[in-house]
Amino acid sequence: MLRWLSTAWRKPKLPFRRHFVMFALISFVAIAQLTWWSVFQFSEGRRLIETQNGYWQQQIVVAYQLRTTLGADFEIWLANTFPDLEIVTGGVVEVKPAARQKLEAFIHKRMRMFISEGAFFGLLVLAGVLFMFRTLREEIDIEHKQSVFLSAMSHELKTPITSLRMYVDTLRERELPQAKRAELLGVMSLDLNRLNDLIEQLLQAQRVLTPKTALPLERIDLSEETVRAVNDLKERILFSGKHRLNVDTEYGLEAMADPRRWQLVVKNLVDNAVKYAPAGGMIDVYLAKRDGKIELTVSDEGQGFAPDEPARLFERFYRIGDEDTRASQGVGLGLYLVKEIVSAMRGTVSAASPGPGKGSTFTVTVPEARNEHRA
Amino acid sequence: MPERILIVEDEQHIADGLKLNLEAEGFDTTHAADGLTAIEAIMSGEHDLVLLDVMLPGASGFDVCETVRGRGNHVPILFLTARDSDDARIRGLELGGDDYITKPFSIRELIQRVRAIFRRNNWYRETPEPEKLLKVGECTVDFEAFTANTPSGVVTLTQKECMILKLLAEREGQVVTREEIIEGVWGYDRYPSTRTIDNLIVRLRKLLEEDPRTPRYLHTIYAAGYKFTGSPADTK
Repeated sequence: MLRWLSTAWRKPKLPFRRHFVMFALISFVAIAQLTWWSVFQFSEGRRLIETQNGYWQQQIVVAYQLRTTLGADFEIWLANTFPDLEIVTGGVVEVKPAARQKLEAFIHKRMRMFISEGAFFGLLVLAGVLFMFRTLREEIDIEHKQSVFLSAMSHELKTPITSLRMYVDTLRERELPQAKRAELLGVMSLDLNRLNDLIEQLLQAQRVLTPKTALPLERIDLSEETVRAVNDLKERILFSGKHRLNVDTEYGLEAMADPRRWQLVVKNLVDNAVKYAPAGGMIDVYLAKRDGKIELTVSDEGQGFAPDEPARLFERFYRIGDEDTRASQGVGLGLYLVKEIVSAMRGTVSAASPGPGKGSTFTVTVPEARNEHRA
Repeated sequence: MPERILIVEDEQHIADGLKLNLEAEGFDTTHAADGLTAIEAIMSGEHDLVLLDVMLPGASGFDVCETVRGRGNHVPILFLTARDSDDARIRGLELGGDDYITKPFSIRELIQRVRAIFRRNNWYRETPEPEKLLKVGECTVDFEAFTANTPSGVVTLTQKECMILKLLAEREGQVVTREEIIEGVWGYDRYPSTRTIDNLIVRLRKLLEEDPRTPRYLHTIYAAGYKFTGSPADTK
């Protein structure tokens, strides 16, 4: 928690300080109230003892004043009127030890009660504070992710639109050779594809987040769907000319899945590799049967990630680094969708990297259809 | 010789489109795809204008601008960005940017803004030799070095401060409205606010006037603008 606090405190973009001040203020008031209440109860016990001692002293004074008047009846009168007093050796009137013990026992009982109640109350306050802290942390995290998402979304939408607008203006206003016009139209087509992919991702994310719209799983040939998905991407990868693609799929592997969503899994993982792989880098896609399950691996020679990054990579709207220095396209939905789709297929997804700058491998494992339905 | 424009943009399609259009308009262009390469290219001093995207790998456009200005480079910078909030716009311009255009933009508007920047820049650079030094009381402002030699030492001025002083000095004895300053120095009407100009004048007075509360050279004319006074003999 301390580590998170210090990290969050240093991040100026998080709306942390305002929340932290509120949180610290409420915690301070709660703890101050609890402390004051404990001190008050302790001093109240002491005051009770002092008051009772005062009463007894007054009773002793009255008893000595009436002793001569009452004569032989004094002892009976004393027992009836002031039952906490007794006459001891030498005719001295004093408080019975039993009465003192009874008072002390009462006070101790009260103190025990207050201590236990105080501790309980303290635990309640602590639990409340921790709950608030947790809620606050989640809220800050969501707020931060929303801000990153909006920033990334704005960039992802405006970039192809800017490009399209510029090329439309250019084609309309400039005299260009036919070959150049065809080239510009090719670029515009890629921009349209980029917009279309983004919208498709958003729609898929919306469907994944709404369980009622979940499509039923059917028996499909994962090998065929994987090749189909990679073929869709090939044109873009070859056009950019920056990456080499190596695909190796075992034939006839079947699983229970939705074909469009499986293609989205493959496309998102390959897209992810394209974003982070350096120019000239190789992207490997393998689909094979391993230990009775189907395993898809997508590896790249890109920037990789730190050992503590994999847990967050599949979170919704999570993006590595700062948006101002964004090194890749995307809005933080691709890997999240992969995780959700694969989970719906009762599969798992994991990411591994030897370290920053050393590439990464994403592995998806799903159960084979034959094992499930031919038993 | 055509003006040289550095395009700092990580999106290849946009960079290619800008290059095509700017070259068709007669400019020379070079391209940098990330912030660190951009800093290096700007500091080489080979460019007359920089079109600078904000979201960049390596170092953001804001960082690039802040870095090169910090190193004393005054090449005009026009920000191109997807962000259209006032905060982002003001931040970019306060860091030393000269203009700001949001994506998606019309290429015709961009080219107009580029030409406007060159016009303002040429007006500033083409100051005749004797007028490159302006005497304000005991201080001397060097428009070429962006410095002011004051009794307490040499102070570095920003390009905008120098441009305001130059504009006022050119119309010595006349009232120059805040709108005229915006038009002459920034060239468009969305930024800065007139309040920003007041703040720049306050800073100039602190640097150049003996008693900034009773200015002798940089006067505020209530509800009108500003006026610079100083005898012609003093301005050499």
